[in-house]
Amino acid sequence: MLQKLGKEVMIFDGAFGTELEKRGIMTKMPELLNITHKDQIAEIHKGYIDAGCDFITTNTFGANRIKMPDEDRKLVIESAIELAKRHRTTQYVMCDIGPLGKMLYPMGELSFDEAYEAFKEIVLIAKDLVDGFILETFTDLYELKCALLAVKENCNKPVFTTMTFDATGHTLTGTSPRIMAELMSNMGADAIGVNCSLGPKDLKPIVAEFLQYCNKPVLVQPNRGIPTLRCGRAVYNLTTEEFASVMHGFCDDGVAILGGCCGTNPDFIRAIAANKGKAVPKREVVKQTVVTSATRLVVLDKVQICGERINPTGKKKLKEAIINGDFDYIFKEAIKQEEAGANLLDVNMGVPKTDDVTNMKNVVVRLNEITNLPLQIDSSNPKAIEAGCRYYNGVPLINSVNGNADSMATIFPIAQRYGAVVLGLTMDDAGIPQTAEERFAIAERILANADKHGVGRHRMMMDTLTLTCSAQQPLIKETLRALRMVTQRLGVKTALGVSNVSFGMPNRELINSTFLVMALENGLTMPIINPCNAAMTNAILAFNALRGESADLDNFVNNAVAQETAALAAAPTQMTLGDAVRRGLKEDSVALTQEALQTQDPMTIINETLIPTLNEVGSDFEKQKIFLPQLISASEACKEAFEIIKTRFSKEGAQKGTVVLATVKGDVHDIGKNIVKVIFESYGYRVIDLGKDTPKEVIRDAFFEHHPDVIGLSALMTTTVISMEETIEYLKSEGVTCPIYVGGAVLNQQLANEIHADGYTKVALEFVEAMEKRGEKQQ
Amino acid sequence: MSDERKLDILKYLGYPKDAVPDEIVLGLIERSLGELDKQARFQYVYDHYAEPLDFMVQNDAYVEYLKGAEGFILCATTLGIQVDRYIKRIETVDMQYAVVFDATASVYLEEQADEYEKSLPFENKGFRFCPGYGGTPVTDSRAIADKLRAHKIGITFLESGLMVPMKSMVGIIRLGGESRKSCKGCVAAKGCPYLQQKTTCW
Repeated sequence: MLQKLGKEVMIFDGAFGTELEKRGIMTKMPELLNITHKDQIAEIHKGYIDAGCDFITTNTFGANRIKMPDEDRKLVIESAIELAKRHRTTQYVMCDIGPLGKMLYPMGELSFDEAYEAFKEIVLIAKDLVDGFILETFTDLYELKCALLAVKENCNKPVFTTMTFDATGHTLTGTSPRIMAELMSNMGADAIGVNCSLGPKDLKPIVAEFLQYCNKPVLVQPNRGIPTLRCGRAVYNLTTEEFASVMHGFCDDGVAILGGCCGTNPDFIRAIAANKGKAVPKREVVKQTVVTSATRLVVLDKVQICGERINPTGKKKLKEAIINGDFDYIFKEAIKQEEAGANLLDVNMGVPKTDDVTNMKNVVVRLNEITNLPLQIDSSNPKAIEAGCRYYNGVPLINSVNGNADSMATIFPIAQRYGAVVLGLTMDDAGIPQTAEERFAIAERILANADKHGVGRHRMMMDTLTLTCSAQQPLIKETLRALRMVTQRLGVKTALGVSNVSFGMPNRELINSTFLVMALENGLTMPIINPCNAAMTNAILAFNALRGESADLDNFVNNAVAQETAALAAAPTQMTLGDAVRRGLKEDSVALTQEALQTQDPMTIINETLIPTLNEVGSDFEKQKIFLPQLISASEACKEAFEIIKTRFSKEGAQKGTVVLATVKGDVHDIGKNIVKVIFESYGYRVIDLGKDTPKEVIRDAFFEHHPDVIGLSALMTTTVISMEETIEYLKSEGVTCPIYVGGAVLNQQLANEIHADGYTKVALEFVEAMEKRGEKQQ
Repeated sequence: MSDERKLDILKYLGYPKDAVPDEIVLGLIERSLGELDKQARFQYVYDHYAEPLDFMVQNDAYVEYLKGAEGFILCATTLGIQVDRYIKRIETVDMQYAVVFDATASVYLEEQADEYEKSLPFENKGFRFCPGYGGTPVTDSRAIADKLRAHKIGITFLESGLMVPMKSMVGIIRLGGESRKSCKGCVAAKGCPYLQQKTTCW
């Protein structure tokens, strides 16, 4: 099959559902028809074989353990394959795998590993019986990546992948054809393309994008136009001729495999089979160094900033956040850097005596949801790199490999498996060479090795290593020379951790920004810097303005104006700390707290300013003088003030108590729980936030680990109140002794009593007040 | 967005009818609307039926709603998963904005759906009746979504029956008939903050 693929046009079969409907045997689980209606299923395949297809798709689209938990899936899949083979002559039988029908965590509740196991089960049943796999109709790149891994890691049969795009040119989860093509081809899919979605005419721009950027054979299986529903039946209007004429055009443009999706039948396949065996025209595919998230593509053909702030080296607060599992701090750093202009983000979880593999996995999974920026997975531990790459949604950048044989033998297979781009460090067992020539030689060696592992040069970047000028001043120019040599002679893109240059020096910012400009002039593509440092980002803007195009000049001017305006707006105003908190001004609250700490002790600020202000805000809320948004903003400002004050206390001293909060299993609506969290934190409580869709066991474990004063459970809908009741019953049976409070839109005191909660409050503030009163009684 | 709709947002945020919102909150509503224009990918599917489906016949609230109707439309609509992602993102850095955005997104979906429904080729359309109204089970949403193949517009379900993306709706629109919206049968009627203020959530 692979010998023909991409060289001569091949034909896939068409829709299955349409044929089932025609025969009046469509059901909710059409895969069960492989057992109950064998002859009809084989007859449908025969129709497509007679029409001239090269590939037969098995009737197994939804035959997975998520959609069919109670059926004998082995029997269903084996029977499907047998029926696909019954009338075949020369055709290839492809095991069809569709999406699982559930959103993956963190947007939904299905974990990546559970999804992987579901796909793996199908692969293990089918792998010795079929010629290949087709993963089709996916809308979520993360799920498709998971399915592709399940195929590649469990068999060596060819695998084709298609996604569904809408008229905006994106999947429902925001992935473009190019992003899909980059990840799938890096990971080794054998053919890549689009199915379902729209009619062939509307697919033209999507197909054009695949042909421009996809370096694997392109597969196109359109619908027979956009359907309208009539009493549960989809009705399609496109004629065979209309369908086929556009498909002929695709063939001329370089599409290698043609087929049909919803609404098509053997007539449509017969019409496009006229192209069968034609030579596939050669295409010029754009090859660039590209990293992506699921929704953002970053091409390293110009200066792209990699934010360095999620790397604990030399960052005490981040180190503490990692040790304490305070991922919110990490996510805030991610968003701050994105807003400051970072194009991708470095993620390093390397803190001694912590589980960097698990931390890397957990942080990457959540960052998939929180930021659109691509990630650089950074670790000296290959296991952490692998965890980061596996659970990442997109084409990651691995930092790093070096000239050491073990490093290359370990890192390149990871890059190949997960489709990553790799940053090579020009050093080896002997350390960092002194001269540019020696570093260049290592770069060459790394590239040759990458090539052997199938990692092409466009997927490699080089770091010629910044040394500190205070200790090794003569070597600074060697770094820059090596940068120029690697850029010009090897044609790879480059990276440098810029601020290393100034360790031990006075006026570090000046040294950093000057070195940055020197490096840019020598070809640096990706400075790894703090994007929140205006001196550095301004230096890049100025460099681009002087070296780039007129748009870069405009960009510089616009930024300068924006910075001046922001500086004017931030001019100091006369107000008290209480005013700042009341008005929800976070930055002013921080500044005024710092000022107050110079003359007052922390407890005085808490007792005489913050608590009275919060009480006043609470009272205004109850009297409906202010409303939920103002209550939250005041609480957030107060929380910021507490954060500053906390640094003056011993670790536990500042905390009034500990609260565990969770949205119960089965519920992903956690905005109410998050409001409660902010208000508790504003009063100085330590909050352990277990997030949404929380299993009862996790809440039990949190109780025994953190010994909270109270547990707060949230649920939005009547359906999840049942889960709340189960959770409470379980926690009490497991020996949880603290009170369990409940809240949420559909709860009331009566319902709370019925599910044996110890307390119910209608609004967040009442919950905090209840705890304050308990605290007073205990004192 | 109309002023009337903006009042709905304020209502969701706990403002009584006559309360005057401050400029900051009004600014956040405008910011939310601007962001929704960028983040939301409004999708809508529908189908026309002449006869009630099994789950409708078994529930008085549906029977009451469809009394006198000449058929009905099933519909499913969503703002897409990017809105969920955006809410998660802003919850991390700015809860005040997140709360305003969340309320604005709910009203935005209602408005988009209402506008879209005006273009549907049917006369005498009633109000959109969503599972959960009148004490009907929220889990009926899944039956409607299955009928409409709503997974094709990205609507999925959790084990508990809740929808992902969060800003999604499925419903029934009667054609003809006269039933009106009411709080009859609502599970949240007892202690409802809206009723206490002599208003309703709809």
